[in-house]
Amino acid sequence: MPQIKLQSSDGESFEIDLEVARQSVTIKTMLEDLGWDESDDDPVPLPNVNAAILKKVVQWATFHKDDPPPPEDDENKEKRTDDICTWDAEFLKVDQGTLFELILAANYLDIKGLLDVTCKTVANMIKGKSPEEIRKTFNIKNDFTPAEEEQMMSCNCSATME
Amino acid sequence: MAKRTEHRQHLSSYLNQQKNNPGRKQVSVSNKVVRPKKFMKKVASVIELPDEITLHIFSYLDVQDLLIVAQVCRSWHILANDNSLWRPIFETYSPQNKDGEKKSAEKRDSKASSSLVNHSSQYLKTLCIKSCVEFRNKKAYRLVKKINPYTGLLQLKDVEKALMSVGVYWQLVMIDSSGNEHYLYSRDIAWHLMSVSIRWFDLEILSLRQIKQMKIFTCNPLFFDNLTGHVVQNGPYQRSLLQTYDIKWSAWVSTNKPIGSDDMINIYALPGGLSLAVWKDGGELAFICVSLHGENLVSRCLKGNSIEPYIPSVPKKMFDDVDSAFGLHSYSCMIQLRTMRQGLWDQQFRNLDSSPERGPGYARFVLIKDGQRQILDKDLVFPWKTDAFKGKVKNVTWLDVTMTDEKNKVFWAVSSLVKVSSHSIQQSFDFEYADSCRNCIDYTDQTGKFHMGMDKTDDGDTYITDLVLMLSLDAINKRFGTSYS
Repeated sequence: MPQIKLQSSDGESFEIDLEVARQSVTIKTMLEDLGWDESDDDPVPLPNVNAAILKKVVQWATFHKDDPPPPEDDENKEKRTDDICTWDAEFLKVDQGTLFELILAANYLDIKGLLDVTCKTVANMIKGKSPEEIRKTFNIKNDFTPAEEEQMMSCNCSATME
Repeated sequence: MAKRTEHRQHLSSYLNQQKNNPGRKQVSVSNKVVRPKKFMKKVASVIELPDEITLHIFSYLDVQDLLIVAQVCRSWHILANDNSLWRPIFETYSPQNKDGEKKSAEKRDSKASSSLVNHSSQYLKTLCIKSCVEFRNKKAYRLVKKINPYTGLLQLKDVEKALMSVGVYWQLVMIDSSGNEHYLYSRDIAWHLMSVSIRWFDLEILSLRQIKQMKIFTCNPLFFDNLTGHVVQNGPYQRSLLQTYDIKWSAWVSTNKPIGSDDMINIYALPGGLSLAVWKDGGELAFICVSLHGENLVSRCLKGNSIEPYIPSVPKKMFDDVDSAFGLHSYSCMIQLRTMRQGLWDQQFRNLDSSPERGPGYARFVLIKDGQRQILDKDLVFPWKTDAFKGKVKNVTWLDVTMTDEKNKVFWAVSSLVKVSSHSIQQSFDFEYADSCRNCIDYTDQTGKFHMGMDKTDDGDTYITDLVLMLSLDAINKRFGTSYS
């Protein structure tokens, strides 16, 4: 199986199967654009992904290399977040910083499956919480003025839940 | 999306540059030169994620959660209200059925809001909620048209139907001393001639001494199924504040006696129609009861918000005939005594003129005079029940009063739990008829005073022997722009 070398922002090289790497639309397009062939053993530099994250991404892409391509988004279809497979759930048991970097890497490398599953994981951390609980979960500062908060609460266009 | 493309282009051009550059083996050096700085920054917080990613995360949230994240911080407020997230919700739930109508409404509104540049990316949310609220309120108001000739109020049966048709439910919020809110939903609602009683029980969650404030809301669902018209289950709702009660229990209970008690509970009536039943054993809440008068009830339920109750428009000041009776002629009054479930006694009084005699600061209406009498054939008791216990508190009853002026507009509305006292309280009220009372009911608020006296005959029948209502001159002056004193 053909291999490709990826180089992280901090200079570490990863040699992986081409099929695994091609899950990244960014890499796939780039290789096509550049007319990459197997004899080319220069590493592909990924200046936005460090070694720790790249390692995780490769790990994810290796596990999912035989997945069917993810379906296109249908904006009118209600999106589920309870369909994360056990392996992914286990894989994403990481600290928030890592999770966000994985999201950025998935976005940058254009790996839809990984982007979806990481974003779903964050959505699940939000669901069913109150604004204050969400702030606590993500360490977000409440930057509304008291007047804005009052307006938001009283505005006929805001609804609340229990 | 734009950002992603941009970075991809960046990477491609970088690689091209590398490919064409003979010295391209020195990757690590070149890397440092072209690496976009902002991407090297570690994203430590979720709010540092690029907008397009946050929008992608939010696209997995349902409406309630979207409404919640909009309250987290400013940047999320803007993103969570974005049209891209609200378009599918708008398409599914906005009440206009035909696509054509929907689009034209959308178009119209986008034009209208285009001047508000900052908000134009959020108009779908506003439009969606606005149209849902309009639909809901129209649906409810359509069912309330008839005025009950006896009470001068909308038929409360219709009000009940209207509120049920749009899925309104009643919420009690108990706020503890650290500001935490505890929510309870009523399982016991009873509609009467002039009011609705709502009761909450099984309240072990919070000790009475921890409660700083209680608020009563209606919860009004927003989304209705376009085909069936039924409320969408677990959909978002708005809250309408009905009453706020500040509870300083320890201080209050040290100066106020229960208005009634039985073996198990003491019942206290707090100002504003709130009644608390407290277990004699342990001193904690057994149940909470409120009664809401039917005046403006539909609007109070549907048109308030979670901070402020609905405020009815001030009636136009009317001219009155300046005379010794303060111009209060042809008034009507409906009075009912009742339990949580059923009426005990009710009577309508018409063509009432205020009497030339008056108490200080009050205009007075004599409804039942000495010598007239009306039989009261039921005991004035307050039966109660929780999941495990029940009892009957003697000499406690609900009092509902609706006094209407000559144009049939409500002047005074009362719905309160009152005590039946077994002694005259002549000293504190200026009632000359009070002497003869064996039992009486007295009620006072800012607008008026109510006094009912009852006598028991030797053969055990109880008769109402006097009934007097007084309206305060302050309230009269406020209504008529007069200055009686």
